[in-house]
Amino acid sequence: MAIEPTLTAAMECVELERALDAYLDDEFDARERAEADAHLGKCARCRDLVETQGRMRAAIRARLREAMTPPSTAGRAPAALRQRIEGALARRRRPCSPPWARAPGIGTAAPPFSSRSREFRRRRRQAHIPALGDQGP
Amino acid sequence: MFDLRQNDLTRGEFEELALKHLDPLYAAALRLTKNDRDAEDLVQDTFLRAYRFFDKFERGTNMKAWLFKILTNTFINRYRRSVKERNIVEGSERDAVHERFVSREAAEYAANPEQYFFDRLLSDDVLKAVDSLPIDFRLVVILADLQEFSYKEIAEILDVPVGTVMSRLYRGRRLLQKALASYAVLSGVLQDVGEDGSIDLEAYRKRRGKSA
Repeated sequence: MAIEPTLTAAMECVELERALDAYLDDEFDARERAEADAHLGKCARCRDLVETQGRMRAAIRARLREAMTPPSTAGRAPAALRQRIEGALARRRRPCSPPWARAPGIGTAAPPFSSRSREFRRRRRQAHIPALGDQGP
Repeated sequence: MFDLRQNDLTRGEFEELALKHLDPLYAAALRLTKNDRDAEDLVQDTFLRAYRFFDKFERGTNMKAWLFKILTNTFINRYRRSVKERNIVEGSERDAVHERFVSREAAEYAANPEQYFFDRLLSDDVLKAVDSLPIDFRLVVILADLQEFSYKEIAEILDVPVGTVMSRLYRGRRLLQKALASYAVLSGVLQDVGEDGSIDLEAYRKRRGKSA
């Protein structure tokens, strides 16, 4: 990614601080990284800063992963949702299929509960919107 | 002519490419809607929309980022109004400029051995801390620190400039650290320390009173 063009040659503490996230997130290109590393090589204060922020970052990421990826329930889609999506996808392009195959009960389960009502309402709304000039007296 | 075989091929390809991202999409949807049922609806709508526009998806590009973009747009367009999230980004982004000047202080606070308080926090507290973030900050933190998207990918997902991603991420991470610290205080893992590193005067007196 492009960092401010002023960040050239010798990097100062204040510049490193401003770009700390980009450095730790590995967003620097090779030249920018080399400049930052050169500065860190001779500035113990900034080295400490990078190290503490890096540790803090790693700790938070680890906790987020633990809380929001499987096997945590907050990170795993319920099995029923997967089935619902697969079922909905299977039906989705079936309007291309011949009309007799679209009759209810042929090879299709009932539509999923919540989207059924939403979809149903949407279709009904659409169906009931009269075309322009079609409103009659 | 009805080409059912082609239809099944397309669906098969879509399912293979897209369904493996179901868990991360659900995890994000749950944090956005804060409710199982809305999260499930949001994810299902996301997959159906993605399937509808699958011919627009460029093979070989980032499917996960594309799905997250659809999830985000769907959420903003359809669910946000009902979830009634207050968007306070503008003011907060102004504050972020000021916050940069105290980053050194925050880092020194973090250098405290108590930084390991995170390790003792319950997952529920971590989720509550994430949920406490204003929605735009919550989104970038999830995209960057959980899903590990690059700034450029996040910018494309949210349709904002990279600079906006960086400032939201900066602010979001600090807010998250603060929220985690406050849960740590609540659960007794961390001693209450004021913003400038000093102990709250009332707490100090209480403690002194007890020890005296």
